[in-house]
Amino acid sequence: MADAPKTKIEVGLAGKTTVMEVEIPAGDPPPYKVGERPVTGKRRPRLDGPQMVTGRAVYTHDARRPGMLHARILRSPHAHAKIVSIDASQAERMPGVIFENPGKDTVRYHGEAVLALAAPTRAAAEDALRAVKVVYDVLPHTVSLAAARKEGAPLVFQKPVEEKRSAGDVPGAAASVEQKGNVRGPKASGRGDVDKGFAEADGTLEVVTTTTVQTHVPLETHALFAEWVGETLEVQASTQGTFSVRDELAGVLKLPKDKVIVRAEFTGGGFGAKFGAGDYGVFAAKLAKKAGKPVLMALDRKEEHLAAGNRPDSWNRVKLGYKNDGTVTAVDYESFGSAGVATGTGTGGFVKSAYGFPAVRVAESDVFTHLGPGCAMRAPGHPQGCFAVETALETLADKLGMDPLALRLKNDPSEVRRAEWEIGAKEIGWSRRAEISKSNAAATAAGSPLRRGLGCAAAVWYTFVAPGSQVIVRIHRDGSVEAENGVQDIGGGVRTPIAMVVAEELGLPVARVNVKIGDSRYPFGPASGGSVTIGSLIPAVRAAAVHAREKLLAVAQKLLGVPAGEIALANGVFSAKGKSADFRKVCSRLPGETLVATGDRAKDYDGADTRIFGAQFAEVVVDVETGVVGVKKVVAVHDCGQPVWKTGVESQIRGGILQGISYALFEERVVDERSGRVLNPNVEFYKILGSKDTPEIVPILVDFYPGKNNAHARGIGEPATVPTAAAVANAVAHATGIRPTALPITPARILDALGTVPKREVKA
Amino acid sequence: MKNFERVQPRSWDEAASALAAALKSGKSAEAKGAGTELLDRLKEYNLAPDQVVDLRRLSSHNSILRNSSGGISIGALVTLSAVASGLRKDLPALADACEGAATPQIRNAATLAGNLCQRPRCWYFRSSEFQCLKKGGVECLAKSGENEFHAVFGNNTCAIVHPSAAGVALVALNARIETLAPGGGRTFAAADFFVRPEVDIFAENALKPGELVVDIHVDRLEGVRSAYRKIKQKQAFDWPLADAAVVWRETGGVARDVRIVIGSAAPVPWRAKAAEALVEGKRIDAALAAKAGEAALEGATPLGKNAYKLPMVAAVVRRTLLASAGLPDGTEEHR
Amino acid sequence: MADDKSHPPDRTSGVTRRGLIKGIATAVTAASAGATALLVETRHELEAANPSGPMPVSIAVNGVARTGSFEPRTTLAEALRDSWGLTGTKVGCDRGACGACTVLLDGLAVNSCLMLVHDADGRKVTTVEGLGSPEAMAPIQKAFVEADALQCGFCTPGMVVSCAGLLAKNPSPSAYDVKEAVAGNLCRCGTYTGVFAACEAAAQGKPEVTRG
Repeated sequence: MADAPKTKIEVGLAGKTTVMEVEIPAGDPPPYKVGERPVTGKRRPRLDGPQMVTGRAVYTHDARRPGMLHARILRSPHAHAKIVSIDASQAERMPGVIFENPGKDTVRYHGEAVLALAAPTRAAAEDALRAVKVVYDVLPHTVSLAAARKEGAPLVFQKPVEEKRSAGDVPGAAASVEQKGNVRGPKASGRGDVDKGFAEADGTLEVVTTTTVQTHVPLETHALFAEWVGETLEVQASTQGTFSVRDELAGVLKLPKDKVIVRAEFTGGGFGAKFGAGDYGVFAAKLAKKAGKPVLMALDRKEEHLAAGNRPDSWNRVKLGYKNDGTVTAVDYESFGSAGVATGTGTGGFVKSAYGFPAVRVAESDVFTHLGPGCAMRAPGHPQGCFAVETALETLADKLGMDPLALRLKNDPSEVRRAEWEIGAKEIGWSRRAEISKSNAAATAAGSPLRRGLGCAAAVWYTFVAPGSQVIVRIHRDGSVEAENGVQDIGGGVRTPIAMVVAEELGLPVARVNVKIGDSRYPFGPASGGSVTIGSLIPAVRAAAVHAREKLLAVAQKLLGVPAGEIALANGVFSAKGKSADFRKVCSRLPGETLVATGDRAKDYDGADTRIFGAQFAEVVVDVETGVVGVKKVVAVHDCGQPVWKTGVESQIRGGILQGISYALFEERVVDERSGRVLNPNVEFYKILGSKDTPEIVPILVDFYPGKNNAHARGIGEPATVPTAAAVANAVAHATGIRPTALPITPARILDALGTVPKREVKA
Repeated sequence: MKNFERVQPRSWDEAASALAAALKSGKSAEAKGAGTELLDRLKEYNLAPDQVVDLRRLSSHNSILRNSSGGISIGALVTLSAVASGLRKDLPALADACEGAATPQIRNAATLAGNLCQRPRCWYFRSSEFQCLKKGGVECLAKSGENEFHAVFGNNTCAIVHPSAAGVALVALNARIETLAPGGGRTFAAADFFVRPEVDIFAENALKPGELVVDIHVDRLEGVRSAYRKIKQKQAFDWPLADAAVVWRETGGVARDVRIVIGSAAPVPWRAKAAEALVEGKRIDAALAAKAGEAALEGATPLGKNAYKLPMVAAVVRRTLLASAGLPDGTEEHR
Repeated sequence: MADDKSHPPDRTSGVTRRGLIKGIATAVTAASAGATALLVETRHELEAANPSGPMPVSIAVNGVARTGSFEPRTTLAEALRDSWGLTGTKVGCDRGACGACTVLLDGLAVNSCLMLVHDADGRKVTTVEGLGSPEAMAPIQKAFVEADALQCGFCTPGMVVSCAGLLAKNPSPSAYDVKEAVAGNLCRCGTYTGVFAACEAAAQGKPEVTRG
């Protein structure tokens, strides 16, 4: 077989690109050339903004139909119990109340669903819930990572547990691993010769870091509206995956996929917790079937905290072998984490991919506890792993008396990231670091409470692609243009970049493109997890738009009598050799009523690194008298390939940073060990960063051409949140001289480390 | 929340009668101002009264009045926002306490009396899944459980912290709290209004069932200086980890009648008497303020997870004293 | 609209009316200033002599008189969303801690989830729908779009209303004032810097928005 034709493309950082020969799949347009994009890559307002700021955007919570029932779930108040009996007789007598009882015999966490019901109003459903009497036989529980690891701890599962995966997880084979007691693992991975690396080292050091459970808290709690129309289940879902909800419902209810329609026009946030239909969604569908009425199931905030997912906690041990010049020769990395009754707590991704460590050995174990299931959360495992590794690197820098940034550069072979370190260091004023140390020393001498600090950390993420994404562009005879894909918008604003790409290819104003998304009847689109949305979708959008343009040019060729190849299409006008026709006129000559062009996401071809890099710098002020930390400024330098909609990319970066600061300083699920109950399933004592905790943020994108697809498209949602907590922790260490090894960095922890907390009662 | 009967009285007397009638007939009844705090407990099923007697729509005790001798009377229904904006010059400690409380939305609705009568935010108390001592259980679950946000003083019986910042300021201001009840109203010194768990485990104030707060009075003091400061982990909406109000009179360059009250640290607003004694009769400066901060810790009995609050208490007392004297505390750059 | 006039509430005794009540809550006008969901009827068939049965309420919502009969436990947020089709007001925590339910009550920002609907009787309520429409946005709404002060958009109505409440009483707020005005509004996507920029731009009547 003859070699497929090769195309030369430019890849790399702008100004330093190199030419590479790649095999572009048939039908896929060649990638953008350097500096080629008239529309995409720019800032502009989001297209659906006007609906959202005026309250007209309809979310799943807002679904209302005549006769609609409101569903609620009865949940376990115990961490571990046998369900002895359920008496719903009183609730059954309430008007219009229907039940769905899955007949569970055991509950394994506070907040686990026991049964669901629906009633004509939410208040009536609440009344019915209160009227159901459940008798539990309370069993022993284990709710802390440390306690659950111990021999003799109450077992969460009697049998081995297989890993469940969602679209939000890092792809990879879910290896079958050993399970002993509550510990499932270790799962081993790595690269290089670690023993050799340690043998060659001048020294070794070890750090242990811990992080606590973070809850997603999307402002719209999980919700699903279900309505049966004949044999078809029509659903509106607050989801990150229109198609993953469809597939789960079809699977559980044993329906063919064409009998399940899922719409997700607006979703009030997800962050990894909203991929499937969930038990709540299945309840809604079953209750709707039973009642013959539409049903809305919207979880409340407490349910969201207890049962709808979280970022697992972690215990991480990092052992570095190093040379005295700061070069790391080997890393031995071990993690334990608890996702409650679920799996998937590994934090070793970062250590394997962020830096150029020659040898890395990773052992990751899940520890089961009687707590609600963890799940994917924005860059699963990575903020935890980044905090562990960056803490180890800074500890090494301290030990060697090196500048922490210089130490990172010793270990960072990535050209892109090296550029990012340089840009970020300049923007934050890294050169002030020594001066800040001096003024901190002066403040200490003067007994003044405020200290300042600078810190940095690296981001890494990956260019995952959801295969099979497809986009249809329709152009009608009246000149109107539609772009269709079933993808949902969880806040990234995906309508806008889709419209920009189509508008660019068709020479039209962006607002002329009517983007239709959030419906499983449209062509397949990616679930929004793993930062795959843009990278999976945009090349398909561009392919569809290019095909549509080609078809229009064929019509224009007839109209203008000029070969299509010589016709230019810009600003709504087809023109060549002094002849021209406007867009509408060409469309009026379409051979059929509608021109339909399809674009498929072609397979990735060769290009630059598959990793997405970033570097963040934080400046903090620490009040050493009270332990309160304030973040003043964050500089975030990221690679996002060629951004399509720059405003949206910058918004994602800001959001990732704010979630990272919140994780670094505030967020902590508190569990009462005796009862096994979560004490703060709310947003009052589960503390989330607010307006007055928000620093100045400077997002900077490096101009990078990664190749691999026709748009140099990559995601940004996850990488932006990976390094923030570590950068803040490192800045706190610079400010105070104490090295945080546990997140969140609470006033209690700072004061304790500073030694100002009295150990005993204060006597008169 | 469980449904209830809404009682809409036309006057305070009617409200008090309605509450009394309910009690007599064996019904449970709750008085409601704005309801911001009551609704929270109703939604948690911590409480399921048969009746809710509305006070919010009554047309008296809803403004700030100044009497001829310069004293100030604040109606029970005056919102926290109105206190903050209306009394900034007169009572800066109270204005600051109210301005920093909760969120802007809650301050626009919540009443001063409601703020004083609110129940604790203790997570064991608030969750209907726990039966703590305050709810008739056998022990204070916080004392041996998760107590990072709990009391470091006076916590022998029950470790709640009183949630009212305004209460801290009012105790420091030696305010008087006037009530109404069918048998006749009373006037409490603010310090006597709040009661410790040893006195009444089921309530945080001395109100009898059905008794209503109608006015809060603060006398005019010649040469009075006051301040309120707090320390929070998070700067947007968070409960303070420690707060303090300081009130004194300046006489001949020294502080007299010094009252230092600590909040978020005990089941009631907590007088730091050793610190008061230390400052009494002296000129406030940085060194004295720091010593007073340390003295304020006298008698502290931190629990397993909240000893970190002690340096915070010392810091907030130091800073509030300095603020009351118009002196810098070294954190100005950060604010 | 069928407010049952034959059974007025017994105001004299301060308790609710007695007798069989069929409460119906519905929007009184089709000129709903942009209701986003279907207007629906909520019927409460109640037993005789239920003292906690529906009580009438009349509120000027976005300049339109809205009436209905509601159980005493009904919150303003529920009435707006479930009975009057004004789903722009969101419920994020239902405990006054997230601010997604913020509306203006006589011009002041309050949590509609922590307010009983009967407490708003006879008063003026402005929801996000009442500030402007997609075709005719209020300056603060335009500024939000310009500054991309939104991501998932679920906290956005509350943020917009809080900012509108601020600007109504303080047309030239400082940066601190803006941060304070939205200190009771939680955004999980992290749009705060956009919100600050939008509010400052709207205050100054600036067409261009720059984010810090």
